[in-house]
Amino acid sequence: MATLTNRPHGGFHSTLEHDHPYLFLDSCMQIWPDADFASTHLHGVTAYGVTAFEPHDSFEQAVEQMMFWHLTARRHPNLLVAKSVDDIRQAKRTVGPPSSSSRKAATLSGGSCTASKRCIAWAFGS
Amino acid sequence: MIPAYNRTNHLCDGILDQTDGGLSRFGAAVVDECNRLGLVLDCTHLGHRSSLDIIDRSASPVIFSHSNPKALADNPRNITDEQIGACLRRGGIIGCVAWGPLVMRKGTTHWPTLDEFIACIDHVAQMAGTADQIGIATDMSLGSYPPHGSDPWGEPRYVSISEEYGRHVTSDIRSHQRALDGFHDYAQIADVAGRLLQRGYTDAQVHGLLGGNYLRLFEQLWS
Repeated sequence: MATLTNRPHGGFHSTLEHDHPYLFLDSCMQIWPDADFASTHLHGVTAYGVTAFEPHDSFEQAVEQMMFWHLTARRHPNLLVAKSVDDIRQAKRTVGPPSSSSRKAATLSGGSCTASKRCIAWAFGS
Repeated sequence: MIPAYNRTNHLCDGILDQTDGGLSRFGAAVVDECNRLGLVLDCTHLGHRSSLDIIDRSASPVIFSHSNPKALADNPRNITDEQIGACLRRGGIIGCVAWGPLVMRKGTTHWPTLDEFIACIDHVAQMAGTADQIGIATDMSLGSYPPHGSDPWGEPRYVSISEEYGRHVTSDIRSHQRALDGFHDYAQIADVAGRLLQRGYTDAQVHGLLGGNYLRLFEQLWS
């Protein structure tokens, strides 16, 4: 189904030739600035529970971080910030092979951890 | 929302800090407000007593988004059966995590495997008597994990949760070996599903484990 990629710096994942039948919601992960955002819907993940903001951020920093995720979703038509369960289900329904480009696939949802330090992320389930 | 991240703050204690004082009055007010807003409270990274206080205080079920049973993997970041049981009794979800250091068992030196991770799921399923209150977290990254040197708070003084792992498997935080032997690339999620089926979970249960269980809870809390 997929050939695993060589990842000298970690954080880069293979893409699937065909989607699998499962809606996969990852309740903790991190996305970093050099991520391949355009391919995030091709890894077999329906919803990424990204980190909303860094631990110990001020209120202003936290709001700015969350707005960053909304901006990211606006810049990448394959992403949306999930505001409802229906958004996540819809993401699974619309994901497909790489040739179809007009889809919103992976959702950024959840509200999770930051495994450490400089985590960007969003979340707060609506 | 995770009220604290490893270290203690004004709301409650973090799991790796030196105290285990539980939820503060301000923290209790925050729990009430999260309930009112429909925010999902997440007890991962919280101190033992803090998580129990929040489960007790919260009018809504809570989750542990990425924690494994300490009974199998005795790591300071994992959670006790008391915490798991309390969460399950209130209708919450335990998100088992495929991060190697939290799957590694005491006394072992090998790269933790997918089967050892599934054993964590089995343990929670046995306690719950169902697979309907379990989710999966990877703790994987998309993009390059930054060096720890960029930590704006400086090096933490709390206990290490990956020292043994670094000694025996890898200390490179960007290595794919920080995940699992058999699940270190998102594209392997279909293999994970296949392995769960082989281990006896039904297709409906696997759908639940991979996301359906969380959606059911979110539907309840976000409506």
